[in-house]
Amino acid sequence: MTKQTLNVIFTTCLFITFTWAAVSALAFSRLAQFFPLYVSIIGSIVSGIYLATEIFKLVKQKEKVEQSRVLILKPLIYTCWVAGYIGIIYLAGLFLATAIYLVAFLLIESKFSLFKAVYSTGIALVIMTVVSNLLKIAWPQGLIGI
Amino acid sequence: MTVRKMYTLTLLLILTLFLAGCQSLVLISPNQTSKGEVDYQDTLLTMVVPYQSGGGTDVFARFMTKPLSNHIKNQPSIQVENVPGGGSITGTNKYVNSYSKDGTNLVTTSASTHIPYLLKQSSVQYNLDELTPLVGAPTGGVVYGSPDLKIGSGFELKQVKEDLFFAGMSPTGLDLTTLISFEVLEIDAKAVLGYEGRGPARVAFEQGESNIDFQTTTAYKHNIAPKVENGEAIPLYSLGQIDENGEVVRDPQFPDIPTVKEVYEEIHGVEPSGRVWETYKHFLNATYTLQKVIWVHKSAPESAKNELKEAVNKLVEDDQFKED
Amino acid sequence: MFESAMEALSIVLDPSRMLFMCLGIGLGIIVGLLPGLGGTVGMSLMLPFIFGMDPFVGIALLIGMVAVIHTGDTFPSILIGVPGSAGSQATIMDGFPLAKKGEASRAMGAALFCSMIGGIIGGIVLFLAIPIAAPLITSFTSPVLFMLTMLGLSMAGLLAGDSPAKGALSGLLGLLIGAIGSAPAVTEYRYTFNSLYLSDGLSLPVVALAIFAFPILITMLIQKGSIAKTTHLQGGVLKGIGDALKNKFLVVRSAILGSLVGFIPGLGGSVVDWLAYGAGKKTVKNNQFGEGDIRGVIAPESANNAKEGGSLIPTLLFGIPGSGTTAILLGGLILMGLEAGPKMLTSELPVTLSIVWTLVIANIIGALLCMILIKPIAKLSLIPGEKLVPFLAVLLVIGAYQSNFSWGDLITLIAIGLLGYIMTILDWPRPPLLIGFVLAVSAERYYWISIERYGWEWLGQPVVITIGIIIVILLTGGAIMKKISISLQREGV
Repeated sequence: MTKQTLNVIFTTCLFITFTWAAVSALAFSRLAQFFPLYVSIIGSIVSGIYLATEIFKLVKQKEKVEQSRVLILKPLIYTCWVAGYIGIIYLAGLFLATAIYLVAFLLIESKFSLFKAVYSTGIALVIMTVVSNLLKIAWPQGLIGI
Repeated sequence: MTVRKMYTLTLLLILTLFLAGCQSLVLISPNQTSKGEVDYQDTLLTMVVPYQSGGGTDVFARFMTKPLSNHIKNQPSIQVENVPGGGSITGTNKYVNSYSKDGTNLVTTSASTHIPYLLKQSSVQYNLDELTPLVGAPTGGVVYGSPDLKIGSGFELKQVKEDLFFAGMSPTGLDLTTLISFEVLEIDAKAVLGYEGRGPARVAFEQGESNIDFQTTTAYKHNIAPKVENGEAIPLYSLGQIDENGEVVRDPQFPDIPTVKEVYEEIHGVEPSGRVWETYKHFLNATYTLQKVIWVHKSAPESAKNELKEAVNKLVEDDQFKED
Repeated sequence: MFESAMEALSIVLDPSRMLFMCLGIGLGIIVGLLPGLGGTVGMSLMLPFIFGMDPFVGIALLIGMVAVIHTGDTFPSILIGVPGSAGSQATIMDGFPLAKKGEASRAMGAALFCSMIGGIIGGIVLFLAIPIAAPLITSFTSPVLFMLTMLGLSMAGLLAGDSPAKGALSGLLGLLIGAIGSAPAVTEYRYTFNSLYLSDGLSLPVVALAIFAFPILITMLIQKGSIAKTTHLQGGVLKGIGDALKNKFLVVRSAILGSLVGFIPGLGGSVVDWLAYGAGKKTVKNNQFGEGDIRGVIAPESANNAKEGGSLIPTLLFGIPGSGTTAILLGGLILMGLEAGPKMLTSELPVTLSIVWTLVIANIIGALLCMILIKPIAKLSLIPGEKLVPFLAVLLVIGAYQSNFSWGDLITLIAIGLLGYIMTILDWPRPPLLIGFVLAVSAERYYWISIERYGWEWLGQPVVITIGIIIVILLTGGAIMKKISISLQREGV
């Protein structure tokens, strides 16, 4: 996808968000209403105008120059890594999830050897546990309660 | 339903308020002697505080842990656990839902926990009837005005010519009780809401942005009493305290300041009555008399509850503690 | 006053108290260094210990910690482009590009030196402001505070980059995100989808981490390189200090701005770094802010340490906390048997003065300590992204969780993080979003109070008009200047 197309899609999303926010603000009581209403109406207008000019530019420029393309798949994969990590935390608790995530990531993405991956994960886990205990940092708890 | 809940709270209080007086702590649990013994040796008690650390309720809870632990057999340590969020609803919900009900977990709540319950907010999952109150700290409140109002005391409130402005946070919690007191006295004060807290509201008073304001006991004594001496503020009336008969009486902390009730009687010649007055008393109870309360699960083992109650009894009677 | 100041100094320099101060400093640097942890976490950590402590010892511990947070948080901001705490986001703008050029040590040197000077100036401002603080604070009425909020928002315009429309939309989106949760004047929940987590609104540390740290992690993975594009690190700490000395007026200016903004109650110090950055961008000639200009590091770093001194004034004298950190500090004071209020200037004056001294001394010690750490830590920027990122991700997740101890924090991290990533690749400016988010509540609150209290009359107040004029100059002045320079460039071609 080209950068410009993605920009149009993103602006459309913003436009929809602002408009939706404005409409839902109508249901708030007077004291709670004015601020989100002002902001979202202005946002809706500005994003509408900006969207129109961007679409206009896009149509006019059709097939003219080579557009810089944006990566979609790779960022998505990496986001999934983080989301997956959080998902495992939800299931198995922080300690286990961090172990699984780090070893898997280091093996697959960083191309570490098995020994190196396990070794660095071990060190990270030790540091994590010690620092957390010293600073009394709270850990997210998983379903199985670790 | 809501009214019934209010009555429950009030009754609970009236039943057990005989210790109220000049003491800073009120014992809420009935004074019964324990029969079953419970062993708190090697156990760690948890005190859930549904607020960020450092707030008023948190400080109160932390203050209480040490002396409370000293009066429990074997002196178990009590650790404070802050579960902030949702204006104290999150933490209290979590307390009733996921903390084990074995008597090792306590919770400290404040007025802003009780009000959403009374108003039956949908996010509230706790039922104060299912918790046993152990000890509570009441507070009082004084309404004061600016010298620009050109009156000497609350009795002359009706002669004020200027527009009254009151700076508040939101129409819940402590502000609500003051706002209802305006209604009782039929004072036409414009409530400007949205301030961040009682502190900024006090600054607004100093700026002249508001000319009638209130503060709770400690804040009044620290910040307003010196102003009263300098003639920069005039005490109008105190919100009063509820006595064992459910009547509004003078706040022992402010014996010289008339209560809302006295001001009303002076102006109207009769005792206040009717729905507004009843509502006022309920909210005074829920927000001031029960300002901060430590509870334990009602379904906790009897022996554990008794041990805790006894500890609290001793604590309230402890002279050394009173001095603090 | 001078005599009592000397007396307070001798109290502070007592060895046992110095020990506690150093303990506080060590902790402050660590929580500053770890992304997501800031003053609030450090404070809550120490609260259980200060119960019943001697006030001077407790103060040494607490203030020592607060003073150096913005010294320690510089490391991640410059080295990996991840804000170490909410107050060091603006440092990323130029500090991170400098690290990419391999000049991390130089940037760190300048930043730490400025942090130290800024902190000292903050302490001096606190000291000088003591006698005049009370009338000054009461002069900030709601209309004035509203206009100051607007001034802060228009600063977002300065940071908008090339496209005004993108900048404005980014700021508006921030305001809208800031409106999530309970309304200030009434208990009504907005845009919360019935979720209890959202009813308190989103927390700043999570949003800051998501909007700045999350995108940089993804970018680092995609580019598969180390942060520094050169293999050896050039430019030392001393060069950075030299840079700071060359720009001494910028340092002093930013530090004073920082302490003044910290001083204003209710504005919140979280945007101080952006304000100083924006002001620097506006006033420094021939700058390349945003592309690795050392002055883009100097301005925010001088300001964020100075802020702490300023923000203690309303906290100590009026009991109005300006931030989460000072809110907990108030609780801590009570636990030590002190009560914030006018008494801090009379019977408790020694305590107040010892706070001033602790601020100054802790800033010096903290900066020196950090300078020793520069060399080993700067090597981080040589580690390839795919080896560094997984560990940073763990740090990020744990850090974000510390805000509310809630799963909502982690979901917000991913959601806002994706938004931030899309904005990065499409060249939408992110600072306006953050400024909008921080100032949303103040904007709403003071606008409402002004209207309710004064009707439309407040628009006629002289102070309000003055600030209004400044805003107009700030907004149009930039545009006009840009036009002139563009037309000049064209003529030149």
